[in-house]
Amino acid sequence: MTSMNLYINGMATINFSGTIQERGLLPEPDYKLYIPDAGIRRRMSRVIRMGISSALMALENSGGNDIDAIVTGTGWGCLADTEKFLISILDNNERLLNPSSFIQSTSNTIGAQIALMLNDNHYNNTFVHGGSSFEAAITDAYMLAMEGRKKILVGGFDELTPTKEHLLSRMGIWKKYIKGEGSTFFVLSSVKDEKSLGQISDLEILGGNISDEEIINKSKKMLENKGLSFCKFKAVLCGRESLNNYFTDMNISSEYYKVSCGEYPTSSAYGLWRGVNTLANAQRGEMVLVINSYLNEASSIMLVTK
Amino acid sequence: MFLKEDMILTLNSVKEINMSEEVYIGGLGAITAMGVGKTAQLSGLISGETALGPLTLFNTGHSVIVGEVKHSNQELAIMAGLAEGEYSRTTLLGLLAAKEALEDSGADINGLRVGFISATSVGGMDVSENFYHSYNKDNHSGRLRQLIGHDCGASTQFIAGKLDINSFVTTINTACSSANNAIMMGARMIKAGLLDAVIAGGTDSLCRFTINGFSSLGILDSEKCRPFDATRSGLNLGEGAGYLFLHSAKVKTKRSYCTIAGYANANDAFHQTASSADGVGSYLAMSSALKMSGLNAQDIGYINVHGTGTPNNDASEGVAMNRLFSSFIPPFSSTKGFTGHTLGAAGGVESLFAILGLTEGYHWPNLLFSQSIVEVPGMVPVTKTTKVEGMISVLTNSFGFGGNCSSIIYKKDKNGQL
Repeated sequence: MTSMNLYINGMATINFSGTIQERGLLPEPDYKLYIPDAGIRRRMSRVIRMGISSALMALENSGGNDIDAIVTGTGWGCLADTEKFLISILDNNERLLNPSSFIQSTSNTIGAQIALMLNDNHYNNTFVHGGSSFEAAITDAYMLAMEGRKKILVGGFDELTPTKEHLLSRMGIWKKYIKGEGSTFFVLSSVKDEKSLGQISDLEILGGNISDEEIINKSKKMLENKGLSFCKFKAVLCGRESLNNYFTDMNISSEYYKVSCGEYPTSSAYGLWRGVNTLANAQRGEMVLVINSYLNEASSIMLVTK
Repeated sequence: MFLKEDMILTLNSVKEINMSEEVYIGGLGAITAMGVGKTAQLSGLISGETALGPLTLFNTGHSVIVGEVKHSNQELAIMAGLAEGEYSRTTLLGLLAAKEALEDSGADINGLRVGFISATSVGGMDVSENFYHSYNKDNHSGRLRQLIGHDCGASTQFIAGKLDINSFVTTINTACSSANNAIMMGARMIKAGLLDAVIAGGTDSLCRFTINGFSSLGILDSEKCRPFDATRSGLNLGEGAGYLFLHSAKVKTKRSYCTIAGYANANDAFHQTASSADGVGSYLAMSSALKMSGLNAQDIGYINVHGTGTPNNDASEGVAMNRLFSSFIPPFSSTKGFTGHTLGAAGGVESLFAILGLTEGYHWPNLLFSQSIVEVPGMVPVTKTTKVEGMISVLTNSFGFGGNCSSIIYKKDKNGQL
C-alpha cells in the first residue's frame, strides 16, 4: 500500500431502523450523560442530540477529548428545526418569531455545538452533499491527517423526521428501502495508538447510477491494485441489498447492514462502524470491505484493515 | 442529475501533500446585486455606488433593504441557457457564476481531473417554501418536483452536470463562512494531488426563510448597513454567487490572476450565533493564514473584512485585527454596503472582490462610514475607491454561525502574465 493509512482510534454510533412509530417504542440513549443541561437538551432536535452524544461517546472510546479538527457530513441536515421555523413563518404571518429553530437549522450546528462543548478552536467543517456527505468528510479528514493533524473527529448523521418519512413515502422510496436514521462518529489519526481499532486503507467515491456489476468491478480493481482479492476478506458489508446476494453466492461472508440502520444519506458511516466492529477479534492484517449506495444518488467503497 | 463518470475520487492516489505546490487562480465568475459577471462587479466597485435597495423579489411582511440580483428567475434561466422549468434561484445564480469562472480560465479541461466544490446555506429553500406553503395546509398537496432541489447538494450536482465536471463534487455549509471553506478545500485537494483544477465558491439566493431568520435574531438593519461604523445596527441580506477557477501549475489558463498563499479555518467556540468579544476565532483564522503564507503583516495590501454591520461581528473582528496587526492595520473595508451579506456565497463573491482589487490595483470603499467603532478607537476603513500600486497580497475574511471563521490570502503570482 503506497498511501498513508488513517487509523480509527475511537468510534460510536446511535442508530434506529424502522418507522418513526416503531422508533417511539424503543428506549432512547441516555442523552443526559452527554448533554447534562435539561433545558438545552429539550430545545435540541433529535439529530443534534444524537450527533453531539455519539461524538462525545466516540471521544470517550478514544480515551480523550484533545482533538485538532471536527469534520461532519449530513445529507438531510437539521430538518426538524428547518421545518419548525418554516411553520412558524406561516403560522405567525412572519411576526414575532422565535429564533431558536432558525439558529439550529443550519447544517453546521452539530459540528459547532461539539466545538462549543469542548471549547475547541481548531478546524471545523461540514459537508452537505447528499449520499456522499460522509465520504467527503473522510476525504477532508484524510488530507488533515496528511497535513499533520493528530486527532480528527469525523461524523455523519441524518434524522428521519415525520415529514421526511411522509414525503419519501409519497415519492415511493419506502417500497424499496428500509426507513432509518442515525449518527456515527470516529476519531481518526495518522498515528496508531493502543486504542486503534483498525484503519481506513482506501476510499473510493462513485456516482449513483452504477450497476451491481460495475460496483463489483470497481471493488475488484481497488483490491487488485493492492494485490488483494475478495477471498482474503473477513467479510463484505453491503449497503445495497442486491450486492449482498452476489457475495453470498460466491461464498464470501457478507451482510446487508441497512437492516440495522435503514436508508439515509450518511448510512455509510454506520457501515464503516459495523465493518470495524467485524474486525474486533480479527488478526492483524485482516480486512473488510464496506460498499455503500444511497438510493441511486451516490456510492462508495471503503477498505478497512485491522 | 448524476455524474457521467463512475469514478469520482480515490483517496489512494494521494502520495503526499505538497504544501509548497502553488495553487493558481485562473478564472473568476460572479453575480451580485451589482450585476451579472465579473466586469459588472469591477465597475460597480469602482463607481462606489451601493446596489442595495428595497426587496422586490417576493412579498414579505418585513420592510427590508436587500442586495437583490435585478433579474427574475426566468431571465436568469435564459441567460444560463436552460430549458423552461422551475429552478431554485440558488442554482441559477450559481450556474451563471461557475460557468463564467470556467470560461474565463480558457482552460481545456479534457483529460484533467476537475472538481466542483460549492457552498450554499439556503440551497433550494426558495422553491421548498412554495411547496411547504401547500403542504402545510394539506399534506397530500404540493408538487414533489419542487423538493428535488431542496438539499444543499442538489444545486451543486445540477451545476456540475451542466459544466461537465467529471471528478469530485461536493457541497459545504458552514453558514456564512461556507464559500471560503469551499475554496480552501479546493486548494488543499490540488496540493494533495487529488485534483488538477477545481471550480470553488458559493451561491445563495434571498428567500423568506433567511429574511425571517435574521429578522427574528434582531440583526437586520432597516436602513442601509454601516459596517465598522460606531452607529451600525445590523446587516442587509444580499444574494449572489462567486466562484474561482483554482488550478495546479500543469493546467494552462488564459491568464493567471494570483496564487493562494495562505488559508486557515478556526472556530470561535463561544456561542452558536454570536462572536466572542476578543474575536479569538477570527484572530486564529487570520493569524494562521498569515503564518502559512510566510508573508509579513505589512505585505497585506488590503483586507476585505467580513464586516456584516452587526454590532457584534464588527467589534469582534475589529478587536482581532487590532490584536494581529496592532501598530499597522492594513487598508481594509467591508463591501457588504455594495451587495449586502450574500451568506454562503460571501466568501466566493468577496474573494473575487479582493482579487480584483489586487490585480486591478484598487482599495474598495467601506460605504457609509463616519466614525470609528468604540471597541477599537481610531480604526478607520477605506472610505473612497482608491487606486493603488504595488500591492503584494490581499486577505479576505468570512465568518459564520457556529463560530466558523475562515481567512484566505491571495498573492500576486510572481510568474503571472499581468
